[in-house]
Parts: sequence; C-alpha cells; structure tokens
Amino acid sequence: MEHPEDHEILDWFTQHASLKEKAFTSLTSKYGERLYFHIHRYLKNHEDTNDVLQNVLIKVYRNLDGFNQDSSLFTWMYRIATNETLNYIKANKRHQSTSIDQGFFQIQDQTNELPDVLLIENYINEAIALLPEKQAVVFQLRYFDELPFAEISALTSTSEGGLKANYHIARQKVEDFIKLKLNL
Amino acid sequence: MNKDQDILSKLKYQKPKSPGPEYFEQIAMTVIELESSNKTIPLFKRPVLYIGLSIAASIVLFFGIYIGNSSETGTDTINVAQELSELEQDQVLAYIDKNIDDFDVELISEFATDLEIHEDLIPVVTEEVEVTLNNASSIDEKIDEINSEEILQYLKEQGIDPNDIEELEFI
Repeated sequence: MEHPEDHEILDWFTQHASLKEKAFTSLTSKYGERLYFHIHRYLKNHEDTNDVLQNVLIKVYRNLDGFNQDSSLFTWMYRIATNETLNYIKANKRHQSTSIDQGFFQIQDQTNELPDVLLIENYINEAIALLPEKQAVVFQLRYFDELPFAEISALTSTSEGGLKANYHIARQKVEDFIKLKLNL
Repeated sequence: MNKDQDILSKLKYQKPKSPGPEYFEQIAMTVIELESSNKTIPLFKRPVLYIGLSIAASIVLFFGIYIGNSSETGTDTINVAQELSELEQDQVLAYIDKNIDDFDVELISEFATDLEIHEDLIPVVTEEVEVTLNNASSIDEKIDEINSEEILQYLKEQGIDPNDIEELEFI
C-alpha cells in the first residue's frame, strides 16, 4: 500500500484544517503497525498494547503541530511510544497482566543450553533502555522486526552506513550486557 | 554455555499477529473523535457563563495568592471585598488575561458555584488589556525560585513520574 510522504502528512495536518483527519489516518496507517509491534514486544498482549497505542496516538495528535523535525517523524513517534510503554509498565507493576498472548522468543539452536528465555528477554530490554536513541531504534528495527537497512534508513532519515555502524555497536553492547548479567 | 557464543544469534523473535489495517483505521478515528470532543474553546467563543465563572474563580485564586503573600501583615480576619477593592482593576484583568487558560474548568466551577457574578465583569474579559501586572510577575518569579529538588520531591509525593515531564521537552 502506498503511503503519502511524511512532509505531505505534516503539511495536511498543520496547514489544512479540512485535511487534518486524512493526515492523521494516513499517519496511523503508515506507522501504526510498527508502533503496535514495538509496544507489544514489551506488554505482550493486545489489550495493554491497544491502551498504550491509543495514548501514544493522542500525544502524537496533540503535538504534531509543534513537531520540530529534529528527527524523522517515525523516530519521534517511536520515542513517544517507548516512553509511554515504559511509563505504563511502571504504573502497572503491581497488577501486571497475566494475559500473555504467547512466547515471542524462541531458541533457534537447541544444542546450546541457554538460561530462561524470558530472563534473557528482560536483559535485552534493560540493555536497550541504556542505549543511545539511534542505536536503540536501529537495533530494535533490525533485530526484532528484521527490516532491511534501506527501509530503516527511510524510516529514520539516517544513512545506511550510519545505521550499520550503529547496529553493530548496539548489538555488541546488548550481547555484552547479557553476558555480564549471566556472569559469563 | 560459554562466553564466546553469540547469544543473540541463538534467539529468534516471533512477531505477534498484526491486528490488521481496519484496526489502525479505527484507532485513528477513535483518537480524532476523542480529541475533537476535548477541543479547547477559544476565549472569545466561550459561553458568557463560562467566562463569568472563570473570572470569579480567577479572582478568588488570585486573591488567595495575594493574601498568602501578604500574610506578614498579621491580619487575622480577612475581608475579601475590602481586599479586592484595594486591587486595581487593571491588575486583576492583566492577571486573568495572562493566566486564565491555566485554570481547570471543574476547579473553577467548584469555586464559583456559590458566587454571584456581577454582570459588569462579563464584558471586561473580552477587552484588550495591555497592562503589565507587577503582582502577576511576582507570582511567576516566586515559581522560578522553586528549585529542581523541590519540584522532584513534589512530583514524588504526588506519585508523578518525572519521565512524563521530561518527555515534554523533546515534543
């Protein structure tokens, strides 16, 4: 499906009141699924993901007029989604949802004994939270979503070379963090 | 398991099932509807009663702050009418003009339900006011004097996550 360019969406939203609705539905249609997967990776069930995604989109709607274009539109939305998700987790720590759709990490190589996959997933999330934003974004889009660098480049308005370097560094940092946590 | 093996390459992340394009269309419409129903009414389009309530509540709030700042006078009994009459109308109007959007409508209504709103007050809020109000500025200055630690302590006491506020910086 062809989506309008970001600058078109921004122009519709900020300059033409009659196109505001079209701009927002286009934006959600273009990036909603990526944000959904990103949030779902932390929350692991549709209900919580839906709540957080709605809050994210409300924030986007309210602040799109003031979007300063320091980063790409997607990176900006991704940042809001990350913050909103982490805040949601903190706020709901006491009554964590027991509804988990399914396990999303699988061990590929059964010959190697790995500790609890959920434990490693938690370490990965902890490590991501410590990464600089660019590294965190590229790591997640590449490692979890398996997007080609060309597509990540379009999403984040960053050169492919820069992304590859950032991904390499981020991956190494995450790997080191997990090993440190596992005392390896 | 040894330290040389690449743990990340041993794991495979399975993406969840996408809820589909209709879901994203629907959630976008929900947000648009929610935001349209919460839209702020421009001051000049607000109903007269709302403006009246706002004025009354603003005066009450302003007066509260004013009295608070004047507590060193040692006056035990506060005569609201007298204190208000001592304020210049321009000062009151400038304060209202500067801060009216900061007040919570429900809070305003709560304060104002028992007040009789003088009709003369209603049109004045729509007048252009170009007065610099010393008292309003001093309130802002006092807010500036509060240091970050006090703010963080307050947020902690109120159970507000500072990350929520930090987020505003980059929006």
